[in-house]
Amino acid sequence: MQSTMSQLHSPTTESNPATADALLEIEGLSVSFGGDHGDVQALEGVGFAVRPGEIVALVGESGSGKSVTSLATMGLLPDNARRTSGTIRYRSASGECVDLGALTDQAHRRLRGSELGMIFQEPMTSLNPVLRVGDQLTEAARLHLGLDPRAARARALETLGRVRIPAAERVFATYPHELSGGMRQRVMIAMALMCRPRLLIADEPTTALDVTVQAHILEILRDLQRQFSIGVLFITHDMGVVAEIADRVVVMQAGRVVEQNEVGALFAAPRHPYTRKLLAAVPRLGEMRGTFSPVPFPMPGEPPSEPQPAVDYTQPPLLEVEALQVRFPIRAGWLGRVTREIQAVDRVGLSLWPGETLALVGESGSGKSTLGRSLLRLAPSLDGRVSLDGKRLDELDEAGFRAMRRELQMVFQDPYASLNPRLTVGFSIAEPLLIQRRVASLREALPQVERLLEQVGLSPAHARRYPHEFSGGQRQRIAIARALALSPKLIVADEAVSALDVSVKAQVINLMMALQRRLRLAWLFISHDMAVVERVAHRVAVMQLGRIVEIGPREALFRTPQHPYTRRLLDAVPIADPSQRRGRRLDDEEPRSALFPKGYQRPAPSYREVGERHWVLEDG
Amino acid sequence: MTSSSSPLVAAAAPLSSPWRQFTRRFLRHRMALGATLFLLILCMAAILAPWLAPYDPQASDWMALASPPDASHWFGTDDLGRDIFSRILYGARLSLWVGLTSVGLGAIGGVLLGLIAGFHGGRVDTLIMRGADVLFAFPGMLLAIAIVAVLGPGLNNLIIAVAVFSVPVFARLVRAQALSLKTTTYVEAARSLGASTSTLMLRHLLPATLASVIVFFTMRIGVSILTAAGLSFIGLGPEPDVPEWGNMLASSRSLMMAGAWHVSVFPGAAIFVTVLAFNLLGDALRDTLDPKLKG
Repeated sequence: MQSTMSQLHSPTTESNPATADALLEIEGLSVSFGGDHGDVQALEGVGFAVRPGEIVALVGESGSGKSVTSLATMGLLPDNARRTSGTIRYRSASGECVDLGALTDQAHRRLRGSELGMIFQEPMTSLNPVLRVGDQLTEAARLHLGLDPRAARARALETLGRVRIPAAERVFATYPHELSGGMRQRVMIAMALMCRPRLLIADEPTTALDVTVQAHILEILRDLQRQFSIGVLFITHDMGVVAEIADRVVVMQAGRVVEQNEVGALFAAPRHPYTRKLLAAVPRLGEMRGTFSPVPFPMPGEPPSEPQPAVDYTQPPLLEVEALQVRFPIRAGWLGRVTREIQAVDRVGLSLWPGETLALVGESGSGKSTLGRSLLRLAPSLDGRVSLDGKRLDELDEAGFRAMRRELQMVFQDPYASLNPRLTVGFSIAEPLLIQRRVASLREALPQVERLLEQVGLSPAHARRYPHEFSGGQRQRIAIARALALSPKLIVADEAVSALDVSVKAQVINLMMALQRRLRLAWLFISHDMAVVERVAHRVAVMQLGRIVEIGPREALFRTPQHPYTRRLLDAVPIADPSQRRGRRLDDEEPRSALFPKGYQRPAPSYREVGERHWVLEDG
Repeated sequence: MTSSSSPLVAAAAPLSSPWRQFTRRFLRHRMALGATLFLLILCMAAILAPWLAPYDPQASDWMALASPPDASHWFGTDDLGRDIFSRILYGARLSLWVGLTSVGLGAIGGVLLGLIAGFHGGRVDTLIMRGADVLFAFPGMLLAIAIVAVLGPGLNNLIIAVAVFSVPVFARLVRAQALSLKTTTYVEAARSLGASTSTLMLRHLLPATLASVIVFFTMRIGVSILTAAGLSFIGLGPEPDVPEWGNMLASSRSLMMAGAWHVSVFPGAAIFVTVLAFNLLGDALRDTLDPKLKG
């Protein structure tokens, strides 16, 4: 191990003459976790450096140890973790070198507040929900810099401006739950920047965000890094993001650094087989140009797959949605009266044919998930006609709809949350059969459960196990098996692969496509990942502020996007090729919301036909 | 995680059943082990009281009235010459029975009401929880006294009184959990499959709340035994000659003043040690079953 480590080190030390000026230098870091089954080695001999003004990307799939590395650097390792060897040297503003691993908690806290900044993955949970944004922003500045409330407030407003938050004054006075995910992440960045840190550690800061927001955040980070010449340790699993932002890349696998290099060299000539595998699994936008039917991901060692069969658009559609509306009331004031409404879905119409995949894309808050959920009555729809196979769903009462649910199933985003942890996987899969009285008992359901497990590529023996024994990808397969149990005609997949690692993502998508070929399933594929959508969809509908702004065949829509919003969305997709990195114009367009006064009716949407089955919303 | 390409990975991973994890963590608590051992012995003693007790608990030894502990009467005798050790053994049957049944009834009622309130929300929730608030507003003892006063004294009414006073505690505990559980994705997934309300509540919500219900159940037994003994002490329990720990304390009042310490110390110690054992067990269960509840 030691010899391979030094070999790995040599190319970087050559190409970067001096590590003496490094801001952060990690050497031979090993960390182990004490658990019920003895110690688990989380990091083994990890070493790399971050210089001022440099963005170093730490990449790897889940479990590779990238987050443990960042936590060790921040002195935030959990109690059961132990550093067994190695140093984490940080050169502080005063010029002295400190070992971050050996600092007392108090010294670390002082440093964390003033010189180290951290941005976490989950903007939903990393802000304190009971404090106003402004209080959280100013707290650190008052504590570590000794600013008085007025100066702290001025600085907070200025910092909010730097992360391009429009109407900083208003955001200052809001609670985190009032902000969108993208806004929260900007607040998080602003918080990390309040004390003007010299080293910023960003742990998957854009993973939970939509592409346009991600592009924005990346641009902000790069801008700030240039302005203040801060060193950034950027942890991510997304090679596209790496190509967009990093100066240097450190690839981790199973707790070890397997390769590190300049970003250009690494993408041009990956040396380690794992790096090559990672790069191969990245979906690239534009790969499908000229191909009209979706094609499964090529798998190493397997013959190239056939494209999906074409959809027969002459027959009647399976699902028809007309003028569907969903509104969420916002209560305000002492009396809790409804003054405003979110028009989450505003008079949306779409059709879906048997055996077709329609992708629904858009930013957070565009209403794409609400649309999918309202089809299954998980969100209340106000108005609109929904028919499945010619039967009107919106006119059914609760009991009637319950019977129709067998035609219409859903796969949820979070594979860890969508299975009841207390039920065996077999029971979870059998549950739809029991609920819809297809079988009388669990015993009777077993043959079907086993067949379903095989159908999604798992072993029938897995029926007796519990969800915690499976990985994310396997759980998503189980969720798909459950959705298939009643042989539905349509499955709504709400960000079903977003939480999965790249290689696993490709496998689950290939499974979804194989099921479509075999069972003539129709998928309503809700996603924010344009590169995945390009592979999986026959047609694409782009949603913004509760409306479909463009809908059309995937090939045409990706080749010649008509609506400006579609173009922005496509422009924002990170390109997994550092040589194509482009200086993006930062659009300062204020994020709009679908929040309107109660009872307000937007002008009815009207569409212009720009090609075969290709429609664009006419704005204004 | 990285290699879910092979569906067999899960099969190879070390299996750690929840039960084994529970026992491993539980065995670390020395105090809890002691408490469990004591309660097991107490239960055995209560069940086997007719065979274990050296004397008939109602039989008077007229030769030894209020005599201090000696070789023939280990814990001494009371003012009527009845053997205190035998009466405590028989009393354990009553105290454990009152503790278990009253908390059991309270838990069943409270869990059901809490589930309904948390799951349905809205007006049902308001009705149930305001009812619970009213019960909470009474001091527990006063409430029990009021119930016994209405129903009349006696063992069964005592149980009912103590049970009523446990209902709001469980209702509040379960409602809070049901509220957060009903928005989880797996409950939503079941709902999207067409699951009925009772399926959702009983199959998906109830099991998830059981861990904390068990913890609370254990802790409440101690409180209930104490309350029941208190009610008996003031004469609202079973007949005065029934060997109930609270009764024994009550009848020993006058002798205590006369200097016969043993008549009150032994029944008092029985109540104290039993309640303490249930509390220790509850604490240990909380740490092992439901680490989230830890304050």
